[in-house]
Amino acid sequence: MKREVNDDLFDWNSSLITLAHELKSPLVLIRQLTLSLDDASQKDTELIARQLSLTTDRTLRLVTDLTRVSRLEDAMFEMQPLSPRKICEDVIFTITSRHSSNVPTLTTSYTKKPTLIIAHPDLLTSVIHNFCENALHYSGGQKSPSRLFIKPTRQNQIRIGVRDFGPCLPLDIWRDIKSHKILTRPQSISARPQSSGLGLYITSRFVHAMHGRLGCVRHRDGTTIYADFPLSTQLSFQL
Amino acid sequence: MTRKLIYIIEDDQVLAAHFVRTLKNHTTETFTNGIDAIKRIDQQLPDLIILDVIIDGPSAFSLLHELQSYTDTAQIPIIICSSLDLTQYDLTLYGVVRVLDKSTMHPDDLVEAVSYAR
Repeated sequence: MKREVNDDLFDWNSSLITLAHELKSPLVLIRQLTLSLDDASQKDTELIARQLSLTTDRTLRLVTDLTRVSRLEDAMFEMQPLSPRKICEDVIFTITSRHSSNVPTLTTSYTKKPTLIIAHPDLLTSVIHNFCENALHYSGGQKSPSRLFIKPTRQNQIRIGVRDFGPCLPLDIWRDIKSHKILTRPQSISARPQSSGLGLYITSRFVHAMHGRLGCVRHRDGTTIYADFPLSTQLSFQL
Repeated sequence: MTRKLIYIIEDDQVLAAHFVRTLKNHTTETFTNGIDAIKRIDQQLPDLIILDVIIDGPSAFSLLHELQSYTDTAQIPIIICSSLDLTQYDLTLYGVVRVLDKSTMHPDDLVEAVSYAR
């Protein structure tokens, strides 16, 4: 699999449109919000400023992730033992502070065993961030909160994932994830509008670069998307 | 200026809120998908619909077909507001009175389009 990805299977022709659209949407929003500042009241101005900040943050994160994807083969991302719980807590903190006016429905469930995995902190943060943002976006209006979890697997690995209650992942995307075809190009997800599949593509490349395995479970009332990472044999002093 | 009842079907909630602010002189309701919008249309017909093309659930064109299937809903003027360039298509048969390109339009364009839609 490593060889397949190194062979630059990224399909630029079909993916450029996806990338352009993903970057166009926030730019359109930023432009509209900026134009509306002229006639806005003081209260609206504060709200618009916050929305502008959130939108630019989201766009910058996407651009940063895309840059990282293009450099994955340069061996710039050295793996190290990491506490996944610490990264998860940092991500939750970031998301919670960003959504302070609109508290997201995200619960956590972590294994009680102290664990360390072999990963890269920036890539792992991005993976968990994408999992959480995706779950929050697609199950925002649902009654049940999405759940971020860390648990050991039978293969002596650590599984990090999010169970959401949004639209069920279509079978073709599920098969692409299982067969690692998702690594080659973004695939739009018809049941999840506004999704070009770019986030899933970026996540799959990051997980693959960290020698992990991306997987998903289709539920009747949502989706679990997860990544399995190799367990570090280094002693863990983290709770 | 007549105060109109406008249904905004837009799945980007920030943009939908922006449209609501822009059309503050009208009564607006927002929907992220066509199914919720149709349910509400069955209860009360709006004076106008502002419709994005890529929305949650069935596409905007399914909604346009549905609206054209009934004589009362077929009369509702529709303004399409999308990032997709649809300006070259004639969508008047679907009840579309104006197509706005989100990437080039000014908020005043929306106000003007709403004023002239009938």
